[in-house]
Amino acid sequence: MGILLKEVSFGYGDKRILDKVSLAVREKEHIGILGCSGGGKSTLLKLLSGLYTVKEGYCEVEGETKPEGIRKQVAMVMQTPGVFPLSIRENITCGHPISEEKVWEAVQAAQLEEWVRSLPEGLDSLVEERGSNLSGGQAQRIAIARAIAKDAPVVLLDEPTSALDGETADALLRAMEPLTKGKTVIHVTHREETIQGYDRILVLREGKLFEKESL
Amino acid sequence: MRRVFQLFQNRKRAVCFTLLCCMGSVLSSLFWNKELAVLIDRVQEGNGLYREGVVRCSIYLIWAALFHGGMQFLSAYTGEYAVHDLRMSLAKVTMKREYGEVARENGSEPVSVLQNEMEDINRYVSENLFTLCTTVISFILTLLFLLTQNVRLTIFYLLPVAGLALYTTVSGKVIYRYTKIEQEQQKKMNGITGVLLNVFPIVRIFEAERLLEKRYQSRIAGWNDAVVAQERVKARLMSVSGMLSCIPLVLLMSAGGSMILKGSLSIGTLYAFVNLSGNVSGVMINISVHLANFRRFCGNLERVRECLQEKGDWDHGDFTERG
Repeated sequence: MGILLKEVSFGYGDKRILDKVSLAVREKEHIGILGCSGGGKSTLLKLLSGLYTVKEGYCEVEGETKPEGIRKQVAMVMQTPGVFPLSIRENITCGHPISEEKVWEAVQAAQLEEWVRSLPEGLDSLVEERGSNLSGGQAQRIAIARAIAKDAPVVLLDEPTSALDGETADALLRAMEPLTKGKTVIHVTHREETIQGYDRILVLREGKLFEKESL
Repeated sequence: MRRVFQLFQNRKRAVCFTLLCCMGSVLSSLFWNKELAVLIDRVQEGNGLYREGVVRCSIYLIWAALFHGGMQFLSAYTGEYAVHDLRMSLAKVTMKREYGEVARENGSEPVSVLQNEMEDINRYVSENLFTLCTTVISFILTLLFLLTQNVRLTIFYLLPVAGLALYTTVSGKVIYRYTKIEQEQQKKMNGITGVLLNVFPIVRIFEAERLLEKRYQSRIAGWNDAVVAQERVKARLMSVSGMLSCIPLVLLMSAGGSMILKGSLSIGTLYAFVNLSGNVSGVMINISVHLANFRRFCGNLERVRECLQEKGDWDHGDFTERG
């Protein structure tokens, strides 16, 4: 089993965001989750990525139940790319011993190769604070390359194209194909067209998860 | 300079009264010193105090107290109202804008920069601007006073001050360069802290804590080196400056002393010189600091003006409404 959630509830203070959510995702299954803003989509991903600890219910990701273990099993691309003011290489490897070849593979898969090769310092070019010297698409591609380089069995996508214009968003979705191929994927979004072709589409409404067909 | 006049154009009367009080306060100090010189000379000649002298001293003391108090009050009042006018002008320009535009900018970096500029203007106006006016007035009037007392002694003790002023200017520039490096390093260090908060989830998921910690440590080390270099240079240059600043006084005492021995200068006048010399030499030595602060203030005003012009119109804003 890739991911297993059993009656997971979560909230901030008195406000309940997720209410007894249950979900079973097979290995390599692609799940799209639709929902409006504030519906709990991002909270669900934070639980699945081990950023939040499940206090009510049960959560298992690739056989791991503790947040530290879960974090090792997932790679995530968020709405804001979250780039570090370090070199492109460090942004991709995050300081882990990843070979040059693997880094270039990730760069190529994220469709960054042409741009990186055009830079005088290549992979060692510095990214400025908050990615101010990058376009939104370039920053997000670096985030994708980082996720590819991690090579985790589970990929979580938190509206990665929502801050981009239509053309860039389409190109980015294509760049994400190598990231999601052969992985268990949970993609939360409010735009259904970005999760076309997924194995299952679920809807998160008022803290509860439904199969789209059942609505 | 135009921007400074613009800032105070609604408070012309208050500015005039403040400047008059500054002049009155400086004049009272000069007359007081003149009277002290006469008293010292009389005592040195073996004559006692005289009634007119005591009455004049009392008048000067009351005069000084009144004008100094008035100056303090008026400078604070004028400064506060001038900055208030500027704030109100900014508020009016903001009120005229679209709600969405204002809401988008709320809490953003340009707004925070603008607030910092306003804070700097407020601080300079309340702490430095009228002090600078008093210093300039005091410099001019004291120099004229000293020249009327003894031209040779005045020129003799002020000549090396020009060299000192040059040294202060050059050392100020060197310190400024180091300060800028230190500020840049601090900005980089703060940048990493800001980034840590911003990308915290990514750091956790991709286990980048060690990488960022390493980078943060290297930035702290960079900042630490910059601070040490800055303080070292500052200490060296300032200690030399402190030593050199004694030269005018030494010259004044030696030249004044020999003039007294020759009978061309009285002890009372030398006392007045020693008492007032700082009003002239101090300003000359620190002229670069005063100018740098004033230029920074003008820069703050200019940036606020640019911001107001972008969002409204400074030249047709609140500043001209009260005339």
